[in-house]
Amino acid sequence: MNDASLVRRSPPPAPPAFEEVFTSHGRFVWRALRYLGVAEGDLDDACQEVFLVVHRRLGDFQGRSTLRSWVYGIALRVAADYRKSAFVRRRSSAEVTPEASVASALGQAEARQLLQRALDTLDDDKRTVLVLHELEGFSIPEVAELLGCPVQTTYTRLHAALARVEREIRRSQLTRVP
Amino acid sequence: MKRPPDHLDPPGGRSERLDRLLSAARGDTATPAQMRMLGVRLAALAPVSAAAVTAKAAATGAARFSMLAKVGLAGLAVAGLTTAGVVRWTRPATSRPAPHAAPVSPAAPAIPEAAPRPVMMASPPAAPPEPARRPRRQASSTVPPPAARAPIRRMAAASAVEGVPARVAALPAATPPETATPSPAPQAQSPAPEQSPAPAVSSSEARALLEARALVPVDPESALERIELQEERLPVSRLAQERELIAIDALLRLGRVEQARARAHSFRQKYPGSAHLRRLEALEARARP
Repeated sequence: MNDASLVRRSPPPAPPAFEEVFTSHGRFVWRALRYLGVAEGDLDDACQEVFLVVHRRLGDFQGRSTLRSWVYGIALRVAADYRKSAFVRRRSSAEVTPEASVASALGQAEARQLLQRALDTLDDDKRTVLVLHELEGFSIPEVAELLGCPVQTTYTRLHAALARVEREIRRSQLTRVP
Repeated sequence: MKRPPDHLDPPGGRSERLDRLLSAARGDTATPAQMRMLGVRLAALAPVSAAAVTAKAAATGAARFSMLAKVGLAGLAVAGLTTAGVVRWTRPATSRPAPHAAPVSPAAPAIPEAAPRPVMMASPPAAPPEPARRPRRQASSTVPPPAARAPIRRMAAASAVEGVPARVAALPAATPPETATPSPAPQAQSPAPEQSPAPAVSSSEARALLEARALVPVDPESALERIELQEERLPVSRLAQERELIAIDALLRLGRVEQARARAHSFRQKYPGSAHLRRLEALEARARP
């Protein structure tokens, strides 16, 4: 019996318990959703949506990707569905507050708002790459696999996203009210 | 946290400001309170088990967690979310190590168990103390009247933690796949949120379901009415299975056994691989003479 047949015969790894998935990934999925464009008031619903899907599909998980990638794949789809909503787009634009521009110190809330505003200027593809790589710590090959695009394309998107965000941040500094 | 190679940085290099923003964002995860609330919501809609979570809370000496949990539970009870963060699970507690609430390694955790089964859950996960960032939303005001809050016949004993009775029985675990057909995405095996085009679950929908389920033991007629109202409002729902189970439970409690059986039969045909079949069998077994 060769190795290939052994691999074929070995059963897929047992799916982890749902609570473990939730405990391990919940906080980070929540963060990813936030920076993928889900409005503050909708984060709970979106995160709930992600984990309801996780719960229902956990039995399907066969270990072909990492569990983390699998969970984030669900989160990406939930976030994408969310962004497609015209209502959400309208509300998101209305939610932008001048708080960041008038704050004297770069506090956490201000930093978050600045970054979110800069991210809002990106298209979905670039935004997703930046969030997954820079915030969620996925490697570029992992991001590429998750998004189903070539690694080089992923690098290109990241580069463009960082450049754009950098520009937006500089612009916000210039227009900042002292 | 991984950083891309330097050659990826924008022309002129990545500014310190951008680094600071990204760094701030990396620390911007959900607070323990937010996760606790989310866990409560999930626990009512799906069998979120927290054996590991409670073990973790105990291991970290989380007295604060316990107190916050009580506050959260009381708040939920008042708000009518009578799950009170305590839902009945059917999976026996295991001795698995508590998972880390930190970025996980790319490798999927190796857990020597065939499939998840329900356990008793006390609350959603605890995490390092962190101040809550924003107030929690209030639940619906459509609370069952106090008179209707009689003890649940068969589930209260098994679902009480720290003196807070669980009014709502948990739905069963996701042991088997929901359907026999799901086909994961080819590359990263990232499934679509759902195969049906059902809209996302809204808070109001989830709340309505929780309230209906809370009513089942004390006023099944009203529970059934609420379910039917939900069915009219949202014929397609991601919570259709949960809704159906509540209806079947209510029908059985009303003695409308034939109707319940018909719905159960329909349920099995529609969701042959449902994670809720075990729960359905339990309901039917209870109705047998």
